[in-house]
Amino acid sequence: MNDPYSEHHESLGVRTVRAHQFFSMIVLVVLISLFLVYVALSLYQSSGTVQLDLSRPGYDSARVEASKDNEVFKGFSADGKIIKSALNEFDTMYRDKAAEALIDIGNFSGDALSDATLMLDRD
Amino acid sequence: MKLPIIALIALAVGGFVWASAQNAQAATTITPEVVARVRSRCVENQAALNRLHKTDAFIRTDRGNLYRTISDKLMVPLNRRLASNRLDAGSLLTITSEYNSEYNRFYKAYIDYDTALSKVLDIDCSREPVAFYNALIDARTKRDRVAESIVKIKDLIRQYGVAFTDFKTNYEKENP
Repeated sequence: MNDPYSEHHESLGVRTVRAHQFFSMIVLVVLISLFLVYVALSLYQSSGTVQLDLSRPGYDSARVEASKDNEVFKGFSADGKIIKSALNEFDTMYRDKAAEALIDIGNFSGDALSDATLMLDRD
Repeated sequence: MKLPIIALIALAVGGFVWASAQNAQAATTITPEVVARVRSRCVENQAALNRLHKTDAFIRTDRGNLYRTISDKLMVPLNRRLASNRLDAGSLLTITSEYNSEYNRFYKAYIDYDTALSKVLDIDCSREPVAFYNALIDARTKRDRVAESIVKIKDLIRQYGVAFTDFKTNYEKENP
């Protein structure tokens, strides 16, 4: 507690910071921003956003394809009475979207990575 | 006192040897012919896998948005509307809950698959053909999990459609 050396070191540190306040502030700000960038990138990676981010370099064609269909789908309203016309409206909307979802594209079938596709089963 | 420690160390070493043997066994299934083909088709396959990686990213985003839209803008609002009108929508609620759980599995399965495929692309197949092929097998397994999840999601979409049609038919019978 009463160590004269530690007091000397502490006071030296404080004196140094006081003497270079602006420089110390810059260093502190850079360190804080580096820490925040690290946290943000960790979240970007761990949340799975990186896998869905088509703005990454090299994904230009995928980005163009994705931006083709930018129509906003309003969906079914959660408010209102249940009447025949509302059920019919939902029926039409649901059939459309279900038909879109049930088509046979994007099934992630195993063929794409098979030995046959990569020609590893024959010379 | 020393005996349990020795037994524990022996157990740990045994486990390590067993795990290594399992890995070695997996690696030995790769024949020298396959290794030679991996090497000879390295450049073409790396390019093909790179293209697949990008196509998959687009398909995942596109399908994922569609699956999310079906839940957030159709299933959930209808369930809420039925609840606010004090109508029984038990089966619709159950299917929606299963659908959302399956979507979360799909979400995680794709992350695992993408990570596995990125690992394949990071391996130099001309220098490390065995590691490349093992990583490829792992990516294949993970891709299959994504495919399984998509099959389940599609099945739940169908189930919800059928449940809604049943509900609508009953409602129209009761309220002509």
